[in-house]
Amino acid sequence: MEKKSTRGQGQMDFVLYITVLLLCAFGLVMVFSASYYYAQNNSDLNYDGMYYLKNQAKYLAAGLAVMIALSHIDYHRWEKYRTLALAATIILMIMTVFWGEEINGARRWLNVFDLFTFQPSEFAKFALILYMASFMARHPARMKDFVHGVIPLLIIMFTICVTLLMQRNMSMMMIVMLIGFVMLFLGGADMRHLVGLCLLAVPVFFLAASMEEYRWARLTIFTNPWADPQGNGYQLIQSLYALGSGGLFGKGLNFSTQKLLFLTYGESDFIFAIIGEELGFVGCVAVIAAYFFLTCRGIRIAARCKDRFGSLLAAGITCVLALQVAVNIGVATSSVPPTGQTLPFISAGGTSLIIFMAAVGILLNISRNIESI
Amino acid sequence: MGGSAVSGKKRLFITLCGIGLIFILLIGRLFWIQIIQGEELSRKALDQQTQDTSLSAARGSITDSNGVVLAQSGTAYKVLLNPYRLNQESNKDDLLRIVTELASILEMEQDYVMAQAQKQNASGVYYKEVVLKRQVERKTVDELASRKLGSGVYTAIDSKRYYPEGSLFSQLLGFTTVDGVGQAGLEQKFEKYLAGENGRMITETDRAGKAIAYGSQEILEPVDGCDIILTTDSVVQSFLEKALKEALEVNNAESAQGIIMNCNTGEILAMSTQPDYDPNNPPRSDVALLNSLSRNRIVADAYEPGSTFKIVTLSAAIDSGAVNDTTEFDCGGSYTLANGERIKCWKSGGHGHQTLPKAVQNSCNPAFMRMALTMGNSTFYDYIYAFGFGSSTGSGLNGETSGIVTHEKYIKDNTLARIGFGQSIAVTPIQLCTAVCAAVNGGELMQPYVVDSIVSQEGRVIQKNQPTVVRRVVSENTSAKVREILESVVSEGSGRNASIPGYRVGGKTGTAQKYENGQIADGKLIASFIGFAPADDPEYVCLILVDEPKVGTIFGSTVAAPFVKQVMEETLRHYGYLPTENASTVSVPDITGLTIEEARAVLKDEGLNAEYQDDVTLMVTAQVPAANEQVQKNTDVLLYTEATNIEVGEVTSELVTVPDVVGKTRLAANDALADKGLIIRIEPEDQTGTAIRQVPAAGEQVPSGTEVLVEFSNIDLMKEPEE
Repeated sequence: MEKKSTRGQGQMDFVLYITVLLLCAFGLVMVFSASYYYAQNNSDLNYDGMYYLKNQAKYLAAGLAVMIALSHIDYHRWEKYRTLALAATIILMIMTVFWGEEINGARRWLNVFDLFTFQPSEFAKFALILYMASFMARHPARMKDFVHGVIPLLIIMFTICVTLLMQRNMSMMMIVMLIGFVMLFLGGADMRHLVGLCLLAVPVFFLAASMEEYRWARLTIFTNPWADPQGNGYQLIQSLYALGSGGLFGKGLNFSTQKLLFLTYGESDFIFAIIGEELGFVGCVAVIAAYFFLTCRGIRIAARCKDRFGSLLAAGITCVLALQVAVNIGVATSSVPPTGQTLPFISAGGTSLIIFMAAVGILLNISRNIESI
Repeated sequence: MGGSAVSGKKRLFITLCGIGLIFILLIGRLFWIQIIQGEELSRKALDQQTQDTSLSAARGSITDSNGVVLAQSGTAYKVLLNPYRLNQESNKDDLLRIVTELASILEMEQDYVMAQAQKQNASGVYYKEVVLKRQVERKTVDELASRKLGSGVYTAIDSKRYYPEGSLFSQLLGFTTVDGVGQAGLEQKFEKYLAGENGRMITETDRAGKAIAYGSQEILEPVDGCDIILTTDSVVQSFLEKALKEALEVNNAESAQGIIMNCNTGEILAMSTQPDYDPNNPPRSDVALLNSLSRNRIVADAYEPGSTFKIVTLSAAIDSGAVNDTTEFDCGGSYTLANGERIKCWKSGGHGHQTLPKAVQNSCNPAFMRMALTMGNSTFYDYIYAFGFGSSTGSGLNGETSGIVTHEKYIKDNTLARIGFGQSIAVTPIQLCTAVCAAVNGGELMQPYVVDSIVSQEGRVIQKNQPTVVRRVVSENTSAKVREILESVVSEGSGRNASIPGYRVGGKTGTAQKYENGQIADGKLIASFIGFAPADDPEYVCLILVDEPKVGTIFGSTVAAPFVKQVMEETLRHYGYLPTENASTVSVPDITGLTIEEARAVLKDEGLNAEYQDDVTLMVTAQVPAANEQVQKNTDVLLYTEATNIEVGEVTSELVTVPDVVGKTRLAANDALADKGLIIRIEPEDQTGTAIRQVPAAGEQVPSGTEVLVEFSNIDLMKEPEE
């Protein structure tokens, strides 16, 4: 529990490391399978069937480097950057509102000198975890005190949520709120306070959602995508078609037909549907099992971590991961309102991949600091 | 870490459990989607992932017995317009130019083309595609392409039914709709064989509808339609059609119909109705005209056969024993029934004493009335039905009707007597032809048929028709006797002008009144002749009908025979029958331009008879047979003048001169009037004595059948006239 910035003080969790690498490799295969038909028919991509594969490989290489580097950097070092990280994220997100690239009616992407684009909101989750983990680790006793423990954290969460609302990124706002809530729970907040917050959040959520009719329609479309088969329901229907066509064992790798332009974003947000079509129910369960295994490893690290900050940080990272997996699969199976969340390590997309690998790098570093049984 | 660490671990575990629960719920959801609903979803997915294209089957062809193609399908083109583009891309002048060019190339109304080019839907939006014309030829498409009409005019593949022989067999073949579906004739009747079955091609496509390179393609091959091979012979058909066209023209007739059958097999060799149409381009816009032209009257129209039916009466009478070689007939110009009713012979003076062959040669009505009455209702009707009258022949041709045979129980003697010479009964030409086939072929009624076989594209025979004996109608001996007598009708009797030098031909003339709305239509006749050859061992039976020749009754009985002669001669030669050497043939001289009187003399010198109905001073405008034709000596040559083809109405009936009956007794007056075909009317009935007044007066021209009112000196004491 001493702060030790020694490198390689313990063995990192290799099982976790290998699992993540396997998921990344699997993701590379699936990205290629899901994207090449779209890519080779797209003039913008110069009809290059390998476009997404190449990009993903580049991101993966970068992500891998970041992961390995971070696994060697003592996680305690990050604690002092918590305020900076939080402030920088919020500023970037506000910048996005004004100068962001507009894609599908929402400004969520920031273009950095035309070099690359990224979503600052992806950072927000981790900045929040970092800050909350640090705060709650330093003031364990205040967590029972609503005014001095919970309120300051709620204000931070609220600030992030407002910027996300400005970006019209409702889904990310919900995720941030959920993560914050889980962190409060893990940080030892009083159960009565948490239940009270829940009771407060529910009516607010419904009020906000139903204020605009289109938002409500979009929110509830998952209950019956066929109500709007060419509009909001289109992708969900295509996703369900893909999953349904897969059956028990799937059509076999590469044999998805839904990826033939029917299912859009098959290489990113809806890659799970392509997995379901090509590898079937069995493949889906295997992927979910792999994520659950990751979650278990992450929680194990959190439980055994020698210090409270590392434990909370590990648990936060794990929860973000698990939550994102759940939301992504929930969308693909039309079980939750549709939102654009990637499937960690598998979906195509640079920001998401690098950030999650970085997070795992931190997690791996925390794993060096656990009690041996 | 103390208590807080313990509670932390507890909360970590709870979180893990929560995440696990969420994952399990998601797996449950996946199970529902992928396993429970999988089949339904994948079927729906397949619907959108595949494109179902219809592969059209090629329509079978129709060929005659020699393999001459009568109908076949080929590629044609259709011209389409895109009004949206036409009106977006072109200005008014340009559009006008395009429309004008289109109208001239496609031979369409410019206004119509313009309307199509500017077609809008209800909300004023231009259509994206309009079919302007279908079934245009390749050269038209090339022509259009050369005119640079822009992208608003384009063409696409269409299929077309071609009839290489043009109008040959047009009513038999029928035609198809522009979509290639049989609409009339054999095309319609055998639609299910000709059409085949369209195939399907199920192609995996991407969302854009593009076929996938490695995608599966399920092809359900179309089954091309079967070919139909007919029993007909195009060569014989062309003989028949040529003769019918001439008959139609020279007689200024409404229509001319003909059928040729092989009497031993029942195969139909040729059948036609003139005027006809070209099935390549049927007059689709005039439905009434099209229906009339495409009607296969040979099977569809029943008519009163007249004397040709006497063959049936003769056969029945001989076979039933009602008459034999020794039977003799006396004809006084009419026949008196048991109830006193008198039915006239066509020859008002009567034929006198006749043997059976003579009676047939003379076509003597009283002789046939006697035959009918001797047989009696029951026997005669048995034969009528056995010969196939009153029911469809089962030829399988479209629109076949069964004619009208009044039920036996409603038949009184007078009707039976009339049926004996071919009145009060309606038959279709095919029925009559089939019946005569039976009468001369040895006595067996053959099933007439026109389809020899139906063969699939792989060469499999789907259906093969064989000659079928329906039943025996008369005995061999009867048939031989009938042949012999009918041959004599041609060689010596009323059928003289059907005789073919060097061949043995048998046959019978016929003239019938036409009925319209159940009434005898004045002056409207159907002249017919049915002949067979070779008379000793018949192969071919040919019936030709000339509907409404604009000629008189007596002359009418002769107009069809020369054409049967012409067709039969060509047919016999076509099938390799050689004329016998010792034929005493004469070349018909050209007598057009001469007066009838002069022509008669010229013909007489050649040993030919002149047949005419007009004043001898009139000039001959047409002759049948034509000049230079080889005919038997004593053949009748029909002489047509300007006056022959008088308009209908004027020939209402033959005009007769009313005889003077004043001073005659009732009996004598009646005979004198009846002799002219007039009917005596006495009012009141109980008058006696000699006639003192008559209306119309003697010497007036009135149509035959007119009633003449006669007044008698109804004084009992009046002395009987001396004569």
